[in-house]
Amino acid sequence: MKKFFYVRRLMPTGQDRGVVDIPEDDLEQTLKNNPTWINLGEVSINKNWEKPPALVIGVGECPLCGYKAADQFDLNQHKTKEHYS
Amino acid sequence: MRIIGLMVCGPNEADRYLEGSLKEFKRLCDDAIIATNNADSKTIELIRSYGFWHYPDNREWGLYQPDIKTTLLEKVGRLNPDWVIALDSDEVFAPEFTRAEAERLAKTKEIAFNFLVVNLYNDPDHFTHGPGIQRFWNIRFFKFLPEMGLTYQKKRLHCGLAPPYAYHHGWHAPYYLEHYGLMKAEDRARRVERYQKYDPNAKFKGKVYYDDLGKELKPYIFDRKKLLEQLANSTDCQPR
Repeated sequence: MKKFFYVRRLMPTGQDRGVVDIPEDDLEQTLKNNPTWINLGEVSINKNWEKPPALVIGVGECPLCGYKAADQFDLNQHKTKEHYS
Repeated sequence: MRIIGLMVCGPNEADRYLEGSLKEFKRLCDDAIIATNNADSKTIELIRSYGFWHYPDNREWGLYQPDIKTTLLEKVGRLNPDWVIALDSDEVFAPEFTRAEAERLAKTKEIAFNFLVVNLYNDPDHFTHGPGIQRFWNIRFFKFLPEMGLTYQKKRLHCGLAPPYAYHHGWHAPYYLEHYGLMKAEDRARRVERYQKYDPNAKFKGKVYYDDLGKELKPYIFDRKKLLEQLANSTDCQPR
C-alpha cells in the first residue's frame, strides 16, 4: 500500500499555504525543491481500530449508544424515544 | 451488500435542500446515520420522518469538522457497512446512479469513487465553472476499510467527506453530483462570512475560490444528458 505524508507548505515569505498530502515516492524531491516546507509525518493509519460487532437485524444493537434491543421493533422504539426526544 | 449513508447536517436545512439528499439515502442505502450540528427541531423532525439514525454533535463546525466526521464514520461502522455513501445536505446524485449501479461499481476492484460535483448557479438549470468555483471530482462512495484508518484529514475546513485512503486510491464514477449549496447568491454571501471567520488567510483552500464566492460568475446551461454521455466516454471513467 502506498504511503502518504502530510506536508505544511510554509513559503519563504512566511506565508502558510496549508497542508497537503504527498506520496512517499515524491516526498524527498518535494522537500528538496521546497526547503521551507515541513514534513508533518505519515498520514495516520489506525492499525489498532477494532471493527465493532455487526448489527444483526432482529437482535439489534443501537449504533449510537450500544443499547441491546430485544428485536427490531424494540430497536425502532429505542431509536425514536432515545435519539429523537 | 450493505450500503450505509452518512451526513452531517447543519441548522435550517429542512427549509433548503435536505429532503432531496435524504431521498438519495432512501433509494441507495440500507440505512443511514445523520449527525446534526446545532440543528433546529424542524430539521431533526425531517430526518426522523425518514427513519434514519440521528444524533447531535454540536461541536463548533469550523474548528472540529474532521473530528465530527471521524466520530460519525466510527458510528457508521457499527452498522456493518460494506460501502458508504457520504453526502452533504445540499447534494443529489444523477438519477442514473442507482442502487444497481452502486453495486456494480462496488464489485469492481476499486475502493472509492469520485463523482463530478457540479455547482448549480442561480437556478437548477445552470452551473458555473470559474477559476475558483469549478466542477470538480470528489469522493462520495467508498468501501468501508477501517484497517486503512477512519480519521479524516486534519483540516478545519474542506477535509472532505471520506477518510484519506478513499481520496488516495479513488477512481471516477461516470456520474455527476448536483450541489445546490452555492446556487443562491445569499448562500454564497453566507459562505463568504463563514470562511472569513474560519479561514481568513485562505490556508485550507485557494484564495481564488473564496474570491469567486463574492463575484457574479458566468452561468452555463446544465445539459445533464450531454454531461452523462461525456462522462461515459471519458477516459477517466473507464475501468483501470
